[in-house]
Amino acid sequence: MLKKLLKYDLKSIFKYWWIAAIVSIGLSIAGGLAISITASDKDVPAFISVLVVFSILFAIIGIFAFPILTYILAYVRYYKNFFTDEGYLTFTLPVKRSQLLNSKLISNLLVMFCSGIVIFADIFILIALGVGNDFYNEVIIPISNAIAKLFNSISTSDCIYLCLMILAAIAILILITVFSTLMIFACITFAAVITKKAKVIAAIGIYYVANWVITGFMQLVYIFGITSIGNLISTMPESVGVPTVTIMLYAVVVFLGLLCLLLYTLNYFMLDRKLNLA
Amino acid sequence: MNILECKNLTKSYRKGIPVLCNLNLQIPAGKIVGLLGPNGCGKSTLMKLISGLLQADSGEILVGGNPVGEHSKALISYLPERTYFNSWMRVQELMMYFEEFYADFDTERAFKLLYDLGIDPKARLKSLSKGTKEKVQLILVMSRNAKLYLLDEPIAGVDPAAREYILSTIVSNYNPEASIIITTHLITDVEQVLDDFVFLSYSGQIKSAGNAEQARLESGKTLDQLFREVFRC
Repeated sequence: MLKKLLKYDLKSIFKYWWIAAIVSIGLSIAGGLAISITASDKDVPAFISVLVVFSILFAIIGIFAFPILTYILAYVRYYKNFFTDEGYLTFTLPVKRSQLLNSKLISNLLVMFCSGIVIFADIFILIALGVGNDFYNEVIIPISNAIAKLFNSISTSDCIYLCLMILAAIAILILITVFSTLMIFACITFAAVITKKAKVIAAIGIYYVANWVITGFMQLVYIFGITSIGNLISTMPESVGVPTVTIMLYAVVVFLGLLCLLLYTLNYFMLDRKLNLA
Repeated sequence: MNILECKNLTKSYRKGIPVLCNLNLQIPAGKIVGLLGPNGCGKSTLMKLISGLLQADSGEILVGGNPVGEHSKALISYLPERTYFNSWMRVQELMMYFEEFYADFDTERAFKLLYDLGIDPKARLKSLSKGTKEKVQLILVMSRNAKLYLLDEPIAGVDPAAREYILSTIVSNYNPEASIIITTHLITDVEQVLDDFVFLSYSGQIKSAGNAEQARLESGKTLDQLFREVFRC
């Protein structure tokens, strides 16, 4: 059943997403070409100059607006499918509530992953077209050289630690995405549980408060935890410091994993036990 | 055998004001039951509790022996009082959706009913009128071979000409081993198809219940007249 739910969730989101993705890439192509015109130092008519400036501006706006639009599409789907009239169909399907939640979570993560690829492609196109023929010499070769130099300069054991750190960083990135998705889900669900009117405004309000609390907590962690630990690590010899940092990164992975589990359980509990559709 | 059992069911939206209060109800298999009562007596609330859209404060609901959940939902075909479509879908996509999720969905029957009512399967749901959407929803619900049909105001939004067709659709398309619970204010229109009736009072309790034909014979009145007498303001 999860596969079927996922199919319809993705269909519903990607129906609009791909249009936004094409527009975003189109804007990047136009922006990249505009940059290449500016870089060529040729005299161009005034209206072309205005067009060039707007193309670059729109390309940059497109890169920032696309992930916002993706977010909106994904969370609107969650809200509409669960807490509006559509919920009458969703919650009477012969599926477990955990499957409904899993489907929404997986589809959101997939959409965000695809959006990440589009944003990367946007930036790549913008730079590649902007730099033009020298792209390979000026961008690709220096980046590959820097990576090769980094791996050549470190020992085998450090190389293992570096790989472990990269893996931990990827895990942290994924967990932060899961956490932020679940947090928005939980805020929307909580708003639907406590109020029957103005659910969207209530959800935004709850999200604002939750975000404020989390930001405050993170600042405290930074001030009292990371700063002092950072000072401690800087006094350690490299042979002890590098493994310590690696272990700490994995501790962050575990901590974030537990937070995600907590939010998932909370959201599931609200959907399964507390939700009364109006 | 009872297809539905409600034991000491209580539900309140605000603390201290129960919509349903210790309700006990048994619906045997193979019956068409009219759940009748004035506005706000808890008819729709009861349907939502049975279909799992609301959480009961206390009490128990068993559908075919299963508590409300994944298994009970596979047995229930619920028609709510509002339309619940994904507006971006076409009618035929919605048919496929039901086919995928409900093992008992009869696609052939659904397309035949669509054809009879002159509804284009390729039409987008957002382009349909409110009445047509309600007809599509009823077709979807009645095209399942469910054990329990919950129909909340199935004829309220359709024209009188279509009501007769819809009622005959309900009667002729349901599995004879299944039961149907219908709530409506249009008692005159539905009473001809009802086997049993349940009058629900304002306090969320059963005021009277029984066999529809027997009640008519004993009182010499129609169910509509009986309803007016019982709930006279």
